[in-house]
Amino acid sequence: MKKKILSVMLVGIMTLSLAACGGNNEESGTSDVTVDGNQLDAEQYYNTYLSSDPTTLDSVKGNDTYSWSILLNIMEPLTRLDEQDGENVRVAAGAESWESNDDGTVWTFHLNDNKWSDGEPVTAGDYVYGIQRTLNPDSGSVNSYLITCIKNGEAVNNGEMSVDQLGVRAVDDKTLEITLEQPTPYFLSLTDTRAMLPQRQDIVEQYGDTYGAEASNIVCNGPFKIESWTHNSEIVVTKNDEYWDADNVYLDKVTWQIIQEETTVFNSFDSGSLDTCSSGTPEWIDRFSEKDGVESYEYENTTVRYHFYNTQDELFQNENIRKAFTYAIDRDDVNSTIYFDIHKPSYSWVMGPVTTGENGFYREQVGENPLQDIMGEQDPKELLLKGMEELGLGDDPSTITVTLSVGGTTQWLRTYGEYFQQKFKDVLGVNIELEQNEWGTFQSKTNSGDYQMGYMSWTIDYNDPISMLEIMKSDAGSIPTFWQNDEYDSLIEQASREMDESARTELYKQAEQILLEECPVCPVTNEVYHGFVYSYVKNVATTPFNTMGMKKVYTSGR
Amino acid sequence: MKKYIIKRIIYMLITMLIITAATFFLMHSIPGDPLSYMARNLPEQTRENYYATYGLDKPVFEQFIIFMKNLLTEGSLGESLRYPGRSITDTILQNSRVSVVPGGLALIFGLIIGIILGIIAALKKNKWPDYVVMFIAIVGITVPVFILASLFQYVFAVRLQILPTQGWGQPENIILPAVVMSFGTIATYARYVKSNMLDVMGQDYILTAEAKGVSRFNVIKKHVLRNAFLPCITLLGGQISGIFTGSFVVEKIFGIPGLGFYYISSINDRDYTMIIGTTIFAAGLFILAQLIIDIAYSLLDPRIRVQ
Repeated sequence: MKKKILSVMLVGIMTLSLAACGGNNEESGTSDVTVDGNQLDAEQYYNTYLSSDPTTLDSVKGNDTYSWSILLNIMEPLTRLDEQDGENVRVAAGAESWESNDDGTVWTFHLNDNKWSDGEPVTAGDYVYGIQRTLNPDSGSVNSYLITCIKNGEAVNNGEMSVDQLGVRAVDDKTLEITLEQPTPYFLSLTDTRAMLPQRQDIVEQYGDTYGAEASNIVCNGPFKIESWTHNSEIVVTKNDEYWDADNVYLDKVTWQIIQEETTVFNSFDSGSLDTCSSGTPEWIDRFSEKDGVESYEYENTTVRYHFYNTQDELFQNENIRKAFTYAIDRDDVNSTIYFDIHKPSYSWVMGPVTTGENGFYREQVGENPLQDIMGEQDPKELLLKGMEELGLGDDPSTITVTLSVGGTTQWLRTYGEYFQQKFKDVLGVNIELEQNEWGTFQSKTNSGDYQMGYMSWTIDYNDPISMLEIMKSDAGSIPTFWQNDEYDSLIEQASREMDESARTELYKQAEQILLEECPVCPVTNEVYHGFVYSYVKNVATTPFNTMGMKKVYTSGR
Repeated sequence: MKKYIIKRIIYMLITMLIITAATFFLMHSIPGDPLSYMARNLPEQTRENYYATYGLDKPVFEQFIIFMKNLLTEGSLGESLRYPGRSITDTILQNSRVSVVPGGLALIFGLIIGIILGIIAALKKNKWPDYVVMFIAIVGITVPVFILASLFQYVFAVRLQILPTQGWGQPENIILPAVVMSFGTIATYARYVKSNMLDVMGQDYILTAEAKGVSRFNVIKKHVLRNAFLPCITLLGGQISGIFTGSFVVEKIFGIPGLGFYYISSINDRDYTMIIGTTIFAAGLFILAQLIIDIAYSLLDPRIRVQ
């Protein structure tokens, strides 16, 4: 009898343990694959969202973060930026390896054996075509300015030369050669922008203007391929089995719901229909940080919120006046009063996450808070009075009225304006008038110089300090300060072709110093990204420049 | 009658032309351009290429002529500037088809409930049912729809988890938005039907009918209701055309890919072709609905005769 019970028990135990060993076990919902010690769920899917419909999946057209989120997953850039221990590392993607000649003007990329989702091989010609099409003036691409460093890029883009004369060629099907106008040290940072994504000439020509406007009008060569796109509703991608690195792609399906209303995003995440969300609202950040089974992460983003001055204005043409308005801001107070400490005070023009090549974070090399050092203990009110004296405006700040222009009519912007109205009054004794216009009008007025002081934000284009610094060059016209400084221009010019990274960093440092000393722009706040995922989601990106998309993401223990 | 309809259609076309031209020149006179959405200034050459590709470098009057030519010869409203490659006509047709589902349901639901409540309120004037109905009506009119939508979403999707928070494609996705949208209709019709009924009930012919000894039920059914409903048809015109154009707020909150979104976004984005396309669509529907209502009036109300 005892024996019988024992054997029954043994059989029972064996059955149980066999079940546990089984490959795709339906009951427990896990697979036998493990990554970093985590057992993968049998069903690998991920539900996320976009706050707006992507404009188009034609990488040449459009330039919105929404379409970029999708393109990163369905297209294969030459390289990608991965992360290791919080630092970015450039890894193989469309190209398995790359090298440049000694002076950094000719770059050769050896392509991986990748395939398009329709089974055609990905060739160097596809990359050539994508780049040519970006610079072809007929495409009207809004991304062309990113890659005019390619030989004859500017001439092609302004129609003086044909695209054949562009410094891009396919040496053979698997070798791409790009010649640059001059040494461009940050060139690799451009290889994972949408300006350089590959495109299939036959498909682009087949669909013409509607290429990339619908899920059916595009072929993919990234880790995922597009399954469906219901405009303003949802985008579904599935694993691309033709992808060169398909073995290291875990998710079978990713769904982006397009949800414009922030509260709906939070409610959806709360109820579990989204696996992730991010928030810039303190109440929700607090709520999700405490939610069971949710992991929160944050990182400094690559967006700076700043004030800018019209240097042609009769008041702000004076450097001391600009300094006064720049130094009068208590950035910690702004951060706590306006942002409830969810962002970070900014004392530099180039933000924290930006790196210079292999030398790591730029800010760590040149100093975290240069503006703080420049400001020192100087009294903003004295600077204002000095400026007023120089301009012959007497010594009574209360006679001065300055207009602060903001682009938007939201209540938040009104509060923002009112805060500064109060603070500038308290610290400098001047009167501030707030001018709220919706964005198009604001942009049009500031561009034509019809403003005194404005508020905007800027997000960096690619990972190199020059991406922030060159927009302040005299001829850039990116921010309508109308500020001109020959020394600054020449430093940026030198830096843009200086291949020695330490020397280049030094040039950047000098340029940024001039910028912060003369104050055409006044950095106030650096945005901090607050992300939330359910803890079964692994490997989400936690650095702003990461261009891996969903390639490495998987779920374990859903 | 035939002559009347033809005359009205000609007027319609003239109105449409005026609306189209006015919108075209007005939208081009607002500062900003379709590149505004990028929220930054692009380098000169990039901007020029963009303008040239979409014909925005031409004088506005020339752009208008080109637009009208394409519209009249090819029936084409062009391509969206914000969403390259998407035809305006397709976008309007596809999205209004979506909007019409929750909007139509909300209208039918709202009409039925609203009329019933209105009748109850009128018959029980100054008694508790009247107060309850009028309370509902005031809440329905004064509480902003985004509050109602958020509340319903929180209660039914987050707390009770019986309906999805948002999305499109499943029948259950329609319930919350339709219910939320119907509140306004319920409130409007409850109040309107009530006041019309009271109005009619004070008329001499009702007194006459009662004096003749017609039962109260028949007085209400035959004399009061029919006359009280007629003015409601005026309201209906705007609402029927409204269900095709969708509701910006409700669609946004419940993630419905309807047309309502484009009315606001196209203006913010300076998506000129989308602005003009959606305007033509809304104006055309509205004018058409008015025509149908006017014809319906003459059929339903013998007091009104068209000349």
